[in-house]
Amino acid sequence: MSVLSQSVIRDRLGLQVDDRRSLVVTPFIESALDADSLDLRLGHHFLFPRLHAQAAVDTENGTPRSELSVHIPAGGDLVLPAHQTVLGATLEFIKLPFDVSGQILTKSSVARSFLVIETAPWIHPNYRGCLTLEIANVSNSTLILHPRMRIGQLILLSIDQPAEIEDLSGTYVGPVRPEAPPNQMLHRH
Amino acid sequence: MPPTIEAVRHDAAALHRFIDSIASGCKVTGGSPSYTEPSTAFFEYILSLSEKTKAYLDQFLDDLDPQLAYADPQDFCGRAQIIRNLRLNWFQLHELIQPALDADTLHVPCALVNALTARLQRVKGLENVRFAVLHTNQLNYFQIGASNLRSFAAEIATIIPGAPAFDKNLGIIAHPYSQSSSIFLNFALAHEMGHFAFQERAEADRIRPAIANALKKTIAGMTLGSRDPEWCRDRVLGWCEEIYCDLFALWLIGPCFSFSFIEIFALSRLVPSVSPTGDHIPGIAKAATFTDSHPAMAFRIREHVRFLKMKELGWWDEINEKANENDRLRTSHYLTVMAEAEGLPKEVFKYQSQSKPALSPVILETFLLAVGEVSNVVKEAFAEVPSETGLFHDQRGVIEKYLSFGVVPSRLVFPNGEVQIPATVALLNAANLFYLERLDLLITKIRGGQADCLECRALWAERVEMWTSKALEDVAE
Repeated sequence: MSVLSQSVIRDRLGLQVDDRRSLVVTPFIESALDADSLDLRLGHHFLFPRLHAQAAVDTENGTPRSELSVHIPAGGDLVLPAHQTVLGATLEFIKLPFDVSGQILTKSSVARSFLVIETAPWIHPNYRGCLTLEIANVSNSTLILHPRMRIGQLILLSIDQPAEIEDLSGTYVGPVRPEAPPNQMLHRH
Repeated sequence: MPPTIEAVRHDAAALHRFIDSIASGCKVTGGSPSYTEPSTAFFEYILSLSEKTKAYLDQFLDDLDPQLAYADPQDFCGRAQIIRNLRLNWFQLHELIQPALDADTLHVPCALVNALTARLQRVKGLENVRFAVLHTNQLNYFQIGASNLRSFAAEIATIIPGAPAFDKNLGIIAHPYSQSSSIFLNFALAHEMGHFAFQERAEADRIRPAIANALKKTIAGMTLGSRDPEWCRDRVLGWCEEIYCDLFALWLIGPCFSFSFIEIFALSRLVPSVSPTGDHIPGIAKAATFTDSHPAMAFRIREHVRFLKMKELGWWDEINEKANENDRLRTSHYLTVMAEAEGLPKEVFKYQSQSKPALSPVILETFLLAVGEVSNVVKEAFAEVPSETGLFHDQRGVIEKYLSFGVVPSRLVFPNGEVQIPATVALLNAANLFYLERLDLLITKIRGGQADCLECRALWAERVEMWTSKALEDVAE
């Protein structure tokens, strides 16, 4: 595996969508491109976990849970109290090539505020969608998040012997908002 | 018996509380749920009006001389009547508040409304217009008359000096609450924007001469009541306004408006029949009856096709293309409905007025003679606004390809390597046609996806709408 450089990323971004080697990042801004990564911005939609009656969430079998869907328009902000979590999503919609995996990292400036954006950072080849972010404020202070702020970095890694995948997994194809786990019963409001 | 001062104080206080309860819901800034700027402007209008009304009531009671009830009961009674008038005005506003509060940014197709508004603002005279969208529990779309709200505000201002005027650039549209996340069915919003344009651009004045000329011909030699011509003119003008709004929507967003119209009213499911002479009668002919307020749906579709065929638009050839780059036939049954509607002879259309049955044929004939002028008026409105048909021609195939690969089509890479941002009209129509004709191309790429599975189709149709909405947001960025 090797990290894709800026020039390779640029080449991949210039391929047509039906080329399996194509990379899509949209909306794309030139300044997001770094030597070996792409900056990703925070989207406008969030899912706040609500407190529920059960003592615990069964992560394997699913537990009825409830989430509050929130939209923050441009210019607005999201207040995240200390030690609170929220699901967010990247503003950018991404389609990975068949021979490239991705890893999303918290931007260092964001991380130093003790904001963690991703605990499942690996992105499989052929993935397409806005990336769901498991945002956690692990600091002792309330943090204010602004949609469109640069929040993460996408590192792209080429795979030595990529698998030939003809079809797409339907589980997470094409989300444009944060999505809660599909194996759990959701009651969104 | 005249009211006592105590009764007036009671009524004023009750009204004060009533207004407070309405206004308290309108303090929406800075939290969740969020509202669009036009909706916020509407709430601010209500808040401002509530403050003015309450201040007026305070002053009103201060100024009311308790002795007047005895000295001049009639004058006292007249003054007390003001409270009733104010209450009735606030009743009207009350009806709009909860539907506006329900329509937060999670429950309104904001990206679509913004995209339509951006195009609308290119029409002369509508440069600063914007729309607040409310919910309605009716499966219908309607524009809350801007002039009605302005008259209402003016009426209040006659009672309350300094009452805020209703923003003349603020339109208010109600849409079915169940369609909040839809894109394709909400194209009807463009028709409602047409109503706003019709009022603001005083288009009735441009159409009336054609109606008057037509009426002169159709009533020649007839004996009518003194008010009958006016009655006929008003009815015909009402129908012309509906046609204006349809054609306005077609220029604003293209033929996808017709497709949503056909889908909403299930016009593709009207069963064809056979005439006594053995001729095929298309199903759409069953929708040929005019109502008092609206032209027949079949007639409207017929006018759509005629308008789309105009060389200034050139849409019909684009959407009626028979094969794409893979020689795959485009098979939308909606296009069939449209082609059949266009072929309907004028004799098919019927109207029967309940109140003036004898005038029914006159009205219909007058309308048929005058309606041609409507397309001229719409063309004039859009003189400076390109239809974007050419961009649709250029971008459609690429947009479809993005959707068929499950990708948001907001940054298009063309075969020659050129990168383009999709035009609004191209995006809406290409995505809508993909949804109508080619959803199977996407479903068959999904593991376990079955084109004949209802649940699959519903899921992926919803995804296509989400990607279209996201693309609109990205393009607006």
